[in-house]
Amino acid sequence: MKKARILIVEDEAITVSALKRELTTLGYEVAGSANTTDEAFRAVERYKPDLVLMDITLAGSVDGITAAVMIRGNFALPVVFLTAHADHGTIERAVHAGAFGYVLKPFSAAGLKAAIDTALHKHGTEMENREALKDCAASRE
Amino acid sequence: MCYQWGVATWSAGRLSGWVIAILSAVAWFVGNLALSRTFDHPITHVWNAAMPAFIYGVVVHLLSALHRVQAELEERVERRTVSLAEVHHRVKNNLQVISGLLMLQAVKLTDPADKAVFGECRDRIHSMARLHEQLYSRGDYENLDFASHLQELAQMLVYSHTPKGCALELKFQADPVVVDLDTAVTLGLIANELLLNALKHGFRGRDAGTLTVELHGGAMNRMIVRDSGSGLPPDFDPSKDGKLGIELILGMTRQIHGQATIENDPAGGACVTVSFPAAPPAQREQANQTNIRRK
Repeated sequence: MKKARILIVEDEAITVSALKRELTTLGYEVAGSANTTDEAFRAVERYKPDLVLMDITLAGSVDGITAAVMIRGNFALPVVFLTAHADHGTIERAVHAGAFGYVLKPFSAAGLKAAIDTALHKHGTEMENREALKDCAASRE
Repeated sequence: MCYQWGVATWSAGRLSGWVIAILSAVAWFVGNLALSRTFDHPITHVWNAAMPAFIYGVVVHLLSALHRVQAELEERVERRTVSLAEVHHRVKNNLQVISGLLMLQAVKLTDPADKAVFGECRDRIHSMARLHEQLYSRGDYENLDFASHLQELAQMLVYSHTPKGCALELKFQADPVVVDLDTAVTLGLIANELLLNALKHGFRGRDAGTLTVELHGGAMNRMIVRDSGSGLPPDFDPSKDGKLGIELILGMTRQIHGQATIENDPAGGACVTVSFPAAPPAQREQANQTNIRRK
């Protein structure tokens, strides 16, 4: 089975290294990493990942939540937030931004895997439904 | 005048503004009546006109000042809340960095026992991080209900540390027990040790078992962790035979002015009871100050 490719968007170097190890151990492929949201847009185009793991407080023209909305809109990719923010306001913003998952720092391997697998499955189902709707509309025409 | 009434009512808030308005109107009416009857002099009319204006002026001035002070205080509280949330956020980020460093160091180890030690350290860090999470997600930065944290911790550790091939049932029963942050962090670490000990040693070689976690409130709160496993060895003396985990449990229990009882349960398995006083934080702070002075 093909390994899911994940892009890490995180500005803390040690956390990026730890994530790379953990994701590889869990059976994913790390497509690449980015430090800022602007870099993240370029990395998405360049690496074409299956999922983006995104911090919220990031340098760049926009924050992680806005970047997630743009990535989802422009590239139809699922975004899972990995953040230390646990306040209701931020979580609510993330939900409204269409987050596929929310992992709190410090992360555990089990929590990370559960969030990524759920997001990939949900995204897969969403894509299938979209295709089915397209086919349905085409057959009506 | 109407403008001043409006400002006064708005500044004081809807209810108090109306109360002040009604009282002022009654006072003006009564004063006017009394003066007209007592002194039939031209100055009476000037007095009548001047007094309400003067009173309104004073009231509006006081209320405006009060309103400014209130707004300033609200702004300060808001700034303090944001700063505290930022501190907690920073703390969690730093805990993530420490956890990441431990993980990266552990990769270099080959002995599974050594790796497990690093894993345990990461579990302790996660336990502390979850407490910070609870604190700033609820907005109460001093007190928290330890029951919900204990439940989350127990579920998390059972999920990640249940021995392979063992069908483990977690039984959880807890009263709401509110504690301050310092006590919560220490209690969380004690709970972490107790649960890990039970999961690591209690069910070795067993295909099923029950882990019971209880928290009872009262003059002395009690936290109980009981397993249905093989129990402690005969003549087990925690102060002599205990390893680092037991040493930490005993030390941290003393730190919160509590007592730990480690024994075999009559029904089988090991049972640890940690009793700790339900003193309000202020009293505990006072006791700590006294202890520091004695030292």
